[in-house]
Amino acid sequence: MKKRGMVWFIAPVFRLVIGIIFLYAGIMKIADPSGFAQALYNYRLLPGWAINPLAITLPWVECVAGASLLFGIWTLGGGVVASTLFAVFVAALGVNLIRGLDISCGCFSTATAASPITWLTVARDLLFLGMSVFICLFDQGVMSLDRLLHKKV
Amino acid sequence: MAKDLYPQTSSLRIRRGIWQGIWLCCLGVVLAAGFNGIRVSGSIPWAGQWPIASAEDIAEISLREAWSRFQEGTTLFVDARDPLSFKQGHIKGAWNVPPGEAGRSFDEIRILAQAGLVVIVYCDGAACPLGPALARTLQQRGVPSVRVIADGWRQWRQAGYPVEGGER
Repeated sequence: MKKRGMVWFIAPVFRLVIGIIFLYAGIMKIADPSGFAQALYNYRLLPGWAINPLAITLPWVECVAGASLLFGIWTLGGGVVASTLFAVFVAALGVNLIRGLDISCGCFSTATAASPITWLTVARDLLFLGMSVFICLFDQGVMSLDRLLHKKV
Repeated sequence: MAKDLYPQTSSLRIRRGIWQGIWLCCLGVVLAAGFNGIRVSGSIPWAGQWPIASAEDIAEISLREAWSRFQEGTTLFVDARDPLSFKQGHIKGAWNVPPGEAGRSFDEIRILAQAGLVVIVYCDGAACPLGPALARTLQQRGVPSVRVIADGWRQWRQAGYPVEGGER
């Protein structure tokens, strides 16, 4: 147990950071689904039929994963969803940077002129991916509703 | 010291995480469907009309490959923008086929394509729907080997490849 000392402290901090990021990103996209659909289209990676369903559902999945991490409910699930999403984001950004497309990230804002994608965006998402994987592997549910409920039971 | 709440082996943690993740995703989808159905403004239909070129029936071509084919002289670039934008500048040797006018030149384009030229349709901006739309029209009218270069005009100009027209 002793060697996990730092892990107990770090994982909740990562949960807090990733949770807030996902909640914020999700809410911004829920506010403007057509703008987010346009951002998805601009990535040129999805068939046309998949764009609107993804534009409708992805922001809510982000919000649910964010809430899970922030409040500490099913944090392993929240970590797996966050890791998967960040891995997909990194791949999508990387492909379009290699293709040379000048498109907006659509990460936090759906405005087409906002935050064009760069390799820094990829580096940032890789950092978030690392934090999410860390949560999956090491989080012990410190400061979580899971632990609170577990204790009561 | 808090007791172990989660499994300690990575494989068990990930297995539990995947199951929880699936349920969280399901919850997200249900909330999304509900909210999109009841929201007063801003909801979008589940089935949208997007003129997607990639991943469907029309292949994209990368800037590098387009440039290499251009150097070989085996390309016919087709500019899908409006005539004014075309006049202001376009890829060297490109034909202008603005929206709704494919019928006028598609026979000539088809003959050239059948002779072995790769038809590369381009537009300006990644969000421009004209390129994919024109590519689809050409393909439907029997032009073989139609490709689309996404955000083609900006990419081509930025790379410093040959252009013509009296702009800027």
